[in-house]
Amino acid sequence: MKIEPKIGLISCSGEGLSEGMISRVATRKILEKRNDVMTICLPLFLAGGQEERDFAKDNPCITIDGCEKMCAAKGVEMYGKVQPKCSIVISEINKKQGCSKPKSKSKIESEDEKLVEETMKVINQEIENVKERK
Amino acid sequence: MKNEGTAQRIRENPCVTIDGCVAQCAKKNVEHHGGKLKGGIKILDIMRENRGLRPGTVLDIGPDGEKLARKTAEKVVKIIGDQN
Repeated sequence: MKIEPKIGLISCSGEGLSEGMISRVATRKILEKRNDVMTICLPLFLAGGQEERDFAKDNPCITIDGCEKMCAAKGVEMYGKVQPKCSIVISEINKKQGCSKPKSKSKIESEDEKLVEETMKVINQEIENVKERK
Repeated sequence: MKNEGTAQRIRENPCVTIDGCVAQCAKKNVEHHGGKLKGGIKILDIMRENRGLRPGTVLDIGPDGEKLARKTAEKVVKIIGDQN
């Protein structure tokens, strides 16, 4: 039996901007719906977690960053020594979709649901793109 | 990440880390960048001290999770108070 490698989803761990929370919520919802993805812990990855870094080297990863600083994407490149297969940035999705900027940094308000949904659509699409390219 | 502005801020200001698991990545990251670590909180310790409180899920921590968050915040405030 051939074991298909899973796709890694690496979300923002920033608490300073509400977009970080959108990134984590959308990623978590995808993880609960699909069995072809997994997540790795960005802080552990940056702190030197070897298993996390090895995973990023050996498996395709999609980063979901809250803002244009793109710590997850840069971290994968810097410490995993590979490019993420796709870099998603919440603030860009927000701009493109014309959603309102989320206000809370600790909970999803009803007006933020659209941005979460749009982010999930983008993540799902990119997962399919990565699988097609393999 | 090599963000000099952030690294400088943690070197120049007292930091309190709040780690969710035993790997203590927040603490390690602050130490790695030579930050002024004034205190470190481990959520597992808070949970051990409050065994009756059971947080919900990642997406909805529930009322017990809210209480644990409040207790964690109180510890942070205490560390900051001790610092001043």
